[in-house]
Amino acid sequence: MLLEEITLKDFRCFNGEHRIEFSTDEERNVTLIHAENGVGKTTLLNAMLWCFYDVTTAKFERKFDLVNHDAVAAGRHVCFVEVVFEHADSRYRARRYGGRGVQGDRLFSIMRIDEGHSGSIDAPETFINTVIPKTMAGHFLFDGEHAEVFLGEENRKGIRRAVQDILGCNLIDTAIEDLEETATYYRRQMPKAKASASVDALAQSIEDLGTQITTAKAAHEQLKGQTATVEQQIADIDGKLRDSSAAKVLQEARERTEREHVRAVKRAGEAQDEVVKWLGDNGRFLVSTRITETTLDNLDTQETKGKLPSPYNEEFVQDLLDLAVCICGTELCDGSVERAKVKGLLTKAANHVLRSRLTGVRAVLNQLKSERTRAPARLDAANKRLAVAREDISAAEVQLGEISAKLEGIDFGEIAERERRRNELKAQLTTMNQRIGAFADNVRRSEAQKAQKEQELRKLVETDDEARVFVQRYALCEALRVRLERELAEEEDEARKMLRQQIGKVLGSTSRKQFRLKMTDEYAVSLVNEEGTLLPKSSGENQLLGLAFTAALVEFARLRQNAEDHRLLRGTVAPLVLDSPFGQLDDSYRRTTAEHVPRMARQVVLMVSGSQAKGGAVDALIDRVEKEYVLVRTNKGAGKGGAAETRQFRGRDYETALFDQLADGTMIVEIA
Amino acid sequence: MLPSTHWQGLGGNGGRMGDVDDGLPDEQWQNRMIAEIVELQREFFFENRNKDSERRRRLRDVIERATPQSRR
Repeated sequence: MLLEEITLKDFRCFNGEHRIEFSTDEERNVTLIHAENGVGKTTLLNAMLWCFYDVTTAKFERKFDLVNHDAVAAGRHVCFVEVVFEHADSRYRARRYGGRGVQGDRLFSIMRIDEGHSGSIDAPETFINTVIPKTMAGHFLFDGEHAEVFLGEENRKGIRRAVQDILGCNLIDTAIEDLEETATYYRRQMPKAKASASVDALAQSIEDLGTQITTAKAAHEQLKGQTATVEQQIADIDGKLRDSSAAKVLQEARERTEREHVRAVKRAGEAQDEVVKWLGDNGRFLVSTRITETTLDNLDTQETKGKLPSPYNEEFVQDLLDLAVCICGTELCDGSVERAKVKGLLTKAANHVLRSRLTGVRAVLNQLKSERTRAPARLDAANKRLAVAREDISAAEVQLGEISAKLEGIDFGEIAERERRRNELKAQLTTMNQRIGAFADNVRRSEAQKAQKEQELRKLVETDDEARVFVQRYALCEALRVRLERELAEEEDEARKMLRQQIGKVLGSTSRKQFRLKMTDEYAVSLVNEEGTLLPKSSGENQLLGLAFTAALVEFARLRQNAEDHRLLRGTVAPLVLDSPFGQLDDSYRRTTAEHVPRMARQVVLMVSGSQAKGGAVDALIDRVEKEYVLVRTNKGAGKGGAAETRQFRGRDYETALFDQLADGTMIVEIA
Repeated sequence: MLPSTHWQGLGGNGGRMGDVDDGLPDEQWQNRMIAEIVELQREFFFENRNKDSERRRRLRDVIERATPQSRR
């Protein structure tokens, strides 16, 4: 089906007649409708469904109150929705009326309109189901505002239903149910044919086993679906705990850094003390440079001159005086001039005290000199140790600040709670898998018992023609049922492969992470990384997955449109209707997804609100938009004054709210 | 009307249906029955929804034509 136009007259919030023409171009295949919530978006979406099938979505409130209230006040009690579409190279106009007094053939009609001719289609409900079966239609509508539930347990059944509807399994499902019911009917006929306690008991036993098998299979399937949900919950917790593991690592790093900080502070203190002590101990070596040099030079000079110390000792001079003989032999008598001269030397003679002092002074001066040479190196070393310690302190403080910033907001109590919950879920999963195994064993045993009892029953009634024919009929029903179930399972398997492939293509084009889709046979959907680890779902990825899935369903239906298998319904070419698909996506995802949208189906109808259009999403696909509209709110009342509510599209301003109008409601304005 | 069948054994669980008088292999015989059943389903799917009892009565007709009373 290719939509051409939709006309609404007095339908809900649309007072009077309003029309949208859809893009039918192959390249510029997007019809873009700007619509805020509460302006008629849900009504517009439901108008199509209501027109074709007389059904509406769950969000459509007061579904029997269809005629615009202002129209009713003006005396108009009937509304309609008309859709012009192309199908199999012919054009059709479908119209449905609603409101008071409409009934019979006028309620819903389809006209074929080709080259000026028009003719009414007999059985329009049947016809529209051959174009797009009612069971499929809802699956081509993606509700972006509720995409967060896409991976949930409830939607698993919805996904299965979508796949089976597009496969057209409905026929086969009903056939299988009918065959089961008919087999039971024939089995129950048997006791009436031959009143035998054994036959009664066997037939009852077979029926009981059949019920048991059906119940066990249903429980088995339900449990398998639930395990997928639990596995996803565990994956979500694992994702959060991985972040928490990082917190533990940070915490350990913080403790380590704090210890290093303490050590660095201590080293700095010791180095500081060493510097101060050195200055105290050795400062004089630095400040005494000049005086040391001068004094040593002076001492050397005086020594050279023989003046300091005196070249002769006091003890030597005294000995000479005591002996009264000079070393030259001259007598040193009392009162003699020679004695007086020698005695005069005593005043300058060196004695051991003086010698000792001089030695001490030289020693000190030499020490000052040598220490002065060594001192700077020692001070340098101490200063370097101090500098290194201070650098370490700074580095530790910076690191502690960074760790603190990262740890801010992490609740370690919550981490423990998650770990406990994870362990609970793991235990739950183990129990569920054990029960699944038990159910599977139960089914196998019961089927074996049933087959054995059926064999016994056949032997028992072999001699009774009347009973035997019922057994034959029962057996035939069972054989056909089993065959249809097997073939249907094969078709579903092929469908799942195709869907996985299609969804993978969309995810590959739009996602920036490396993950792939995992879809179990029970239609539990999740995302896994390259190692096969289940990934936690962000709401953005949820939405992307839901969108990818809807697009895959449209493609799947298109591929099946020429399916020759008589047992299933054929597929169809259907438009893809996207309602607020970008809501949960960040700007980067919005752009890449928007770029991909035109490729998702032959014809795309895209509805976005103002906030959805931000982030470049609309810009990314604007070149593929052939038709563009905005839903404008109309008000009977006067405006509050001030600036008009406008939005800019294609470089022009459009008012999105009008006042002093004939009716409260919505009008459709085309953006040129 | 489907050809009558001669039962040597009874098929359950998709097993052998036994030889048939008209010489058609088992698989083809089943295919024809299935085609008839599906056509019945299709008729009621589009036109006569929710008429389960009528549809099942017609299914029993299909089964009983294939398994007439007097045959051994």
